[in-house]
Amino acid sequence: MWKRVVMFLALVALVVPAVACGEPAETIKIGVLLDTSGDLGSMGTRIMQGAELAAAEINAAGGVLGKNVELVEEDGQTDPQKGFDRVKKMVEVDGVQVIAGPMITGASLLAIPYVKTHQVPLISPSATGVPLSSIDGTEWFFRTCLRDDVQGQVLADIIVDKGYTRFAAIVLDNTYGKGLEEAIMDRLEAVNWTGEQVASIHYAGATKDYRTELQQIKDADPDVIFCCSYCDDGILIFKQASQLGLDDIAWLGCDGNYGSGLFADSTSAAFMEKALVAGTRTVGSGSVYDSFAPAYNEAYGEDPEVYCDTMYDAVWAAAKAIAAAGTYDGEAIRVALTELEFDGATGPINFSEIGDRSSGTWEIWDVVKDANTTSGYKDHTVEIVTWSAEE
Amino acid sequence: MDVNWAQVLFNSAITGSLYLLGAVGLTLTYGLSSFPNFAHAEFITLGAFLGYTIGTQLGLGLPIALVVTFFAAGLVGLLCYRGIFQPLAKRGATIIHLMVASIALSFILRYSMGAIWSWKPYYFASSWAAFDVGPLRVTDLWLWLIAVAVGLAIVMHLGLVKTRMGKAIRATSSNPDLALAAGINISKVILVTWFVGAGLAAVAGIFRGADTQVWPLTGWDIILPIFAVTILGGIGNFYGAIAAAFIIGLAENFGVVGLMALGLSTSYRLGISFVILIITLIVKPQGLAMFFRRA
Repeated sequence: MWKRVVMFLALVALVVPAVACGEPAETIKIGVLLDTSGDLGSMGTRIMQGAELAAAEINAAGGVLGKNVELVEEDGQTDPQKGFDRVKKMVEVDGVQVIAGPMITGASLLAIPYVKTHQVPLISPSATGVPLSSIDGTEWFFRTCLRDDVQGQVLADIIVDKGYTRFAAIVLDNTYGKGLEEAIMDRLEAVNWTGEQVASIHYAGATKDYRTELQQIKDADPDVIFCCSYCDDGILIFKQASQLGLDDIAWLGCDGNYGSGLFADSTSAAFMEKALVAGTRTVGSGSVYDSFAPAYNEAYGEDPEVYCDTMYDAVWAAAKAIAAAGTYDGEAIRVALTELEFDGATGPINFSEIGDRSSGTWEIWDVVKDANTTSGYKDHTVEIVTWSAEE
Repeated sequence: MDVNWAQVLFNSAITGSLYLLGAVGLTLTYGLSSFPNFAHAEFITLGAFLGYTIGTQLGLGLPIALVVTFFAAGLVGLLCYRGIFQPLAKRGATIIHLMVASIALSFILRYSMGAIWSWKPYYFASSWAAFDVGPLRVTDLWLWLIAVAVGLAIVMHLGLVKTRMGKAIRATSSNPDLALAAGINISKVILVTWFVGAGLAAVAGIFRGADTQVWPLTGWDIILPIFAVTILGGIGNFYGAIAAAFIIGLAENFGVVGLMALGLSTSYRLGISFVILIITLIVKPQGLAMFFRRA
């Protein structure tokens, strides 16, 4: 008797999930791959809120193809291989047909050839590496952020404008860090800059002790130091630079070390306020941004930081492309993305043939004291620079 | 480019001091219990978290944090040995069993600390005064670290040579059977060693945490060079560990200068201690131990 009951229950257990799988999906899944832990954890967690805000708005407006949008959220841990594993999981286990992400260039490099064979387009909010536009499968890769070569131009122009002549770089030893350094040097060369690069350091984020590296920079006697880091490693570089007395040299930052996450250590925050003369990041603009920013603040109790707006646009782009395609199918969504045109929180969005933005807005920022924040510091807009590909 | 060699040497002393504090417990427990304890990395991490909680969150400052953490982590180390490794060894576990058990313990402790304190990094609130001494740039924290490491070396040396317990540790470490026959209480010797070893690892964790950041991988981040120190110095050899810690500290920091001169990424810094470890194992598996008496 008991044997039969057990057999019956086992059968039920086998059949029920099969039936559940057989039913048509009740939601439209959009994969979201962000690094909500690791060196970019604090930034990724905020960017995730941009994705969730977009999804909430899309659903409030009636969803897509008559169904609600469901975000499949995954954490790439600021590690290219782990990010790529999450992409495979979303495609093979969850069956997503479009992914907003990856967040970093390294994970995108691994994911692009894979999504080409599985026909799932990627829309990255923040993978800025230049090589992503030319590798095999790039037609499956779109991005709502601007590329490192453009950011390099903006940074190089700051160096020229301020008249610096001894340039040093301490950058992450990856596509992002080295790409940005190269873009700055290319632009400096193109505008016949008369200075020279006196030091170049490519460091690993895991080392955490950068004293000897920073000492080497100090010994090279630069008048400007460019730091391309993520958040947690950036804190340590600024902290150790402060201890080693590199705070009387001008420092430049970038989108990777923008944000209140950098103020978690008081020495690092004070150093940025004193020494960092300028950093760059893409920033939203236009009427959509003017409604996005207050909505974000209302939902999460803080202002949107870097790439929250591009993520918001990436999820909207995915939803609009699915609606335009009329079907939840990767290839149809990809074609729809190439034809998409809409106003996003980061301005007008229409992707070029290689999936890049053709225009955008840069903010030049620095760090100021602000007694109203928990850390006592905040980022501050110095200047807004608009850029378009036609120039 | 002019290199400030004095600063590079000083940086090597900082690195070496940290590795010495981290490695003493590992090398002595390895020597006495005959297996490499991978959970040693978590003793370091535990020290960083306890030090942060006591020093920064409770605001009691570094000296109190160092003392309380030393005893608390020492107790954890002792309990780990008494509760896990000793029973296993009594049941005839080999070095492989004990090592795998220590890896398991390492994961359990690491993820438990992640669950308690989260995976978000913390930073000590203290900001350390930085000042120039001749060509050197130093901070209070770095001087503290070097002072504690030097103090440890002196106290341990005197302890090993002058005290009964120290002599017992040396005797047990060099020949357990003979020590037992001579009436030495081996299990007490081993318990004391685990207590002191874990306590010192925790002290290393506080310094590493205050110098960089505190998160569940604080110990894991530096366990590779600490193993390199243990093996280069000769397993179970305290004096060898002192020499090895500073050799690896020098190799890493001079390595960074060399890597930069060659235009290479300084990421390879992490590989330097690994290369030293491999060469030692190939050329002289007993490490520097042959130059020092066993202790």
